[in-house]
Amino acid sequence: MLNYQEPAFLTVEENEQGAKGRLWGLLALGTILLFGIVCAVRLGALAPTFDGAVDVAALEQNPTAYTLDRADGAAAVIVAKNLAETAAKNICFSVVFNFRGYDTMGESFILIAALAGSLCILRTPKKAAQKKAGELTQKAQLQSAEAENTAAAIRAQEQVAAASAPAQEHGAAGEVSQEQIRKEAAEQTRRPRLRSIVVRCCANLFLPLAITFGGYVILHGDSSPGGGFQGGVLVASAVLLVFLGYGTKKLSTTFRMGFLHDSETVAELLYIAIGLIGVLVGLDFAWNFMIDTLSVETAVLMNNAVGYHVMTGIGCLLIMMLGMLSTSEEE
Amino acid sequence: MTFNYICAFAFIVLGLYCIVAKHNLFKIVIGMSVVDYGANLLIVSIGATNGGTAPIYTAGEIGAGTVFVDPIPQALTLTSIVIGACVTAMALSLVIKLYQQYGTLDTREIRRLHG
Repeated sequence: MLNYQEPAFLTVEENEQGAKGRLWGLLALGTILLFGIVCAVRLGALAPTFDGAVDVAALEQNPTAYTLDRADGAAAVIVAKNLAETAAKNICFSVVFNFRGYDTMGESFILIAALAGSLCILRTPKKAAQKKAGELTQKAQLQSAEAENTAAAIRAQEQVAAASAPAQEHGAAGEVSQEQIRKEAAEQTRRPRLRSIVVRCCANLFLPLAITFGGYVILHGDSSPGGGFQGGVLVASAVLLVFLGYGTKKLSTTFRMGFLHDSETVAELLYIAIGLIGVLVGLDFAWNFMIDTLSVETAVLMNNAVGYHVMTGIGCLLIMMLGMLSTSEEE
Repeated sequence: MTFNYICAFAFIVLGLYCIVAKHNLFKIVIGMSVVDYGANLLIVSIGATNGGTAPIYTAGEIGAGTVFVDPIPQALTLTSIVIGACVTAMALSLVIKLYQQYGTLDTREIRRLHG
């Protein structure tokens, strides 16, 4: 690395100051833990935020007949109003996509920002890439020149057996080629990083399972645990399975990064468009605009858009990071 | 419930210890995630009720005495998990870039200026 002398005031004497710092750090962490435990005991003595005083079974029978007289918080209101206003059986779903639709929009933008930031950080500058390509072609040219030299030397040896200078040249070239052979042999012994057949079979087996289960979790978000975020990550795990089974080369031929990146933006626009329909109809953003006419949940469409968004976004992130892995392996 | 809260604070302190005391960048990122999980456990525990079930109107499974847990902290935790994953992804890409520049993951080596 660099020949760099640290200034005297920066060097830490490990024995004295390091031990002292460690002691102080442990003391601070212990204090935080102590306060945390005291807080935990006091929190445990508190009443729960939602006592479940809503008669859920009667509410399911007749969603619109419920009065909010005894409601003692946002949770009670939401539980009571859920079936009447949103037609979603899963209350967490309706909280995420109806009552807090704006917040989920911001959350999706955070995903977009994370992807854009990672793209910016991981992108190799064009100049460096060109330089590397130039070096590679130079190396190839040198190798071909060496090969020509060897061939010329062999021919010279055949023609003039007694001449000393070409023979010496041949000797040098022969050493070079032997070195090359040795290098190649070493590379080949290093190469058994080939994927094992067991991993490949398991990837083949679990790939359809992962995608189907992810799709199920996305599509049944309104009536069972799950939703767009969870199912999207499950579908994006297909990228990992392909990488584990087939390596990075297959990864770059199977998935198209640009398409994934574009469809992420399209999904976000879809989410906003479906949310805005509620405003156009005369209700709030992300509100269910079909509850009076058809009594179906329209936030399912927003949920599907989020699922599409998450599966493409996380897939894009995974491909990017695994691609970095391959370039650092080649170096 | 008290046990849940104690576990949550233990997670947070464990993650802070990881961030402060470890020199490997990957371990620091793991510590950040552990703090995140502790916070999530805390939020979910606040909304939990003794004997409560998941707030889903599953046909045939809810009866007269069914009590739901608070759905709002669960939805907040969902947001928190997604944001935690995004933060981890950003941090890991920074770690990859640092490793390319410095050839090491040790924070004591990376501290120096590098031409």
